This record gives sequence, structure tokens and C-alpha cells, in this order.
Amino acid sequence: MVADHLREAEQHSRVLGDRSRLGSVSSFLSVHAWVTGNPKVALEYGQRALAISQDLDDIGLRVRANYSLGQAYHVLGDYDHAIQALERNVEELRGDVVRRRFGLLGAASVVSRSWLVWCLAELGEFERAAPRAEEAIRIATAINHPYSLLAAYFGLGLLHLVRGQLTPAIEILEPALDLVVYGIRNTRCDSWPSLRRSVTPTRYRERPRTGHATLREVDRTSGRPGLDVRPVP
Amino acid sequence: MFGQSLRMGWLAHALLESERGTDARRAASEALDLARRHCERGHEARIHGILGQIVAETDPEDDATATRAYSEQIVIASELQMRPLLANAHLGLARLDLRRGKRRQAQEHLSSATKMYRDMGMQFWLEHAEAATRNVTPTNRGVRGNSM
Repeated sequence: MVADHLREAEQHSRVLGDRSRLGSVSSFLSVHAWVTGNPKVALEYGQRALAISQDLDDIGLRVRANYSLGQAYHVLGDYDHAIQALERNVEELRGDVVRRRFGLLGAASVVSRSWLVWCLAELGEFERAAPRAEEAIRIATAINHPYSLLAAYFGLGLLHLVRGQLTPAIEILEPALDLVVYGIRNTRCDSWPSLRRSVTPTRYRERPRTGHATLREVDRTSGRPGLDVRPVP
Repeated sequence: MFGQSLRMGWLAHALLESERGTDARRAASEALDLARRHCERGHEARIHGILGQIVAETDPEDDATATRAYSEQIVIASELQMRPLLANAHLGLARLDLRRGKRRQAQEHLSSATKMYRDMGMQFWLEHAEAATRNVTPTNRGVRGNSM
């Protein structure tokens, strides 16, 4: 259904010779293909959107295209190209535009960093990933935008998880989970009030090891000796 | 849907930890199928490792399937340069070799895994690899229930 409308819009844009709209529709089609599990198609639309954005010197379209390309390359396992696309956004989104979303769910500078961190973690480039993850959290915290915070926590949590650092991973991912639960109950992201004060990793440092306590309880009830926590191999 | 294979893979791992081996294996197979169908190569590599661990821990007789899963993980992780997964796959194969009494092969896999974990600063996994390495030495034969 969504795809039908987008393809119709694509046709109209072609007929009208409207490059701007064609770029925008291509960007949406890329997202649609990625979400529905067609990363190769997402790549094609993303590349087209990027080419148009460069012709038109349209920063919003360029940012969205690079983000989509990063996601498509990531899922295909082409981490080098994903990193290149996402780093283009990191470089571009400085200064006044650092807090802008450009039509994405979160601040483009934050969500691009989170996906970049994931890609770098998969390659074992932890030292390169860590500063980007921290930057994402600093930006998301400064702009106090819930979805951006969620994305930032997810990036850092995933980095810890892949590295096998379980306690820090839990301390980051638990507040992220709280954000998700809060978001489900309050479906409009914009209506999420100043969550930064109530849901932050700092709060969890004050009551640390919540996750471990839960796992200990699981261990106790299952009769297994001690804390036996293993990350996914 | 994007990432469904990965979510299913993590579910499989959680089922293994909950001692629901049959469900875990079924979920891992489904996850693998999803990853292949949607060309999710990185996720596919991770799921091979999960499947390898599930089979190794719940069906020790089925060495072949576990070995094949870890070997597939090595192939894809090498191709995509996913070094953490590559190291994990070597550790998984080493544990299988230890169980089968193939000490030389186990030592080779452990050397690879240990070096990679050390290079990447993956302390948690490094400790696991070093613990397995201690089992390779003849003086520790039989420790930790390995069937040598």
C-alpha cells in the first residue's frame, strides 16, 4: 500500500521532470525497501537519492540518502561502505545543523552516529566506535529528544555488548528500554516530556546492576549455581 | 522486516539460556532462513554462531552440525571482516575439538581466538579463550567435563 503510493509519486515526479520530488520519493522508497527486508533495492533507491541530492545541493536529501545507504549497506554486511556513508553525515552535520532531524525520527547527527558505531563494532573497531557513541549521547542529551536518546543509548549499548562488556551494556540498555516502554505508552515522540531527567544512565548508576540482580534471580529460581551470564556469541 | 532474523537469533540464544534447547534450535533455524532470504549477511554470520552453540550444548552427538555452523560463521565473518564474530567462531570450534580430543586443532583455533581478542581488547572473551587453553594442556585433562 505504502509502496504503491510511493511508486505512483515516483511516476508523477518523472513525468513532471521534478528532480527534487523524485529525490525525495527515492529516499522514501529506499527506507521502505530497507524496512521490508529488501536491502539491495534500498541501496538502488538510496544511490539515486544521493546522486540527485548532489545535483541539487540539497542537504536534507543528502543526509537522508546517506543514512539510508548506511542502513542498507549495514544489513548487507558491507560495513566499509556503510561506514563511508554514515561518516559523510557525521562530517556534514556539525554546528547549526547538529540538532536537525531532516525528516528522520531522531537527530540525523545522532542516529547516523549510532549506526556508525554498530558497523564499527561489528568490525572490532572499538576504539574508533567509542568516541562516536559518546558524542551521540552528548548530542542527544543536549537536545533532549527521546528518540535520539534511545538511538544513542542503543549504539553505546550495542558496542559494549559486542565487546563482551556486560555490566556497562546493561546499564545503558535498561534506560533505553524504559524509553521504549514510555514511547509505546505515549505514542507521539514529540509529547515525551523532559525524559532526560528521569531516564538516564546516571540514574542507573545510582541503583547499579539492576539487570544483574534480575539475572541472579533467574539463576536462583532455575537452580543454576552463581551468575552465569553469557553474551551472544 | 529488517532485522527480524537478528531478533529471532537473539530469541534463540535466550531460549538456550532458559534450557529450552529444542525451541532454541528451531528459532535459530528460522532466524537463519530469514537472514538468507533477506540477504542479511552480517546477521547470518551471527546466527550461525548461535546455532553452533545451541547444537554444541544441547546435542553433543551432532558434532557435524555444530562444526558446520561455526565453519560457516568463519567463512562469512572472514569475508565481511567481522573480527569479533570470527574470534568467537574459532573459540566455538576449539571447544568442539577439545571435546573430541583433537588437541592440536583446538590449540590452533584457540591461538587465533586469543590473539584476536587481545588485539581488540575483548577481555571477557579473552578470559574464556584462556580458560579453554588451560584445558588443552595434558595436565588438565578431564577438567571441566571435556570428553578427551
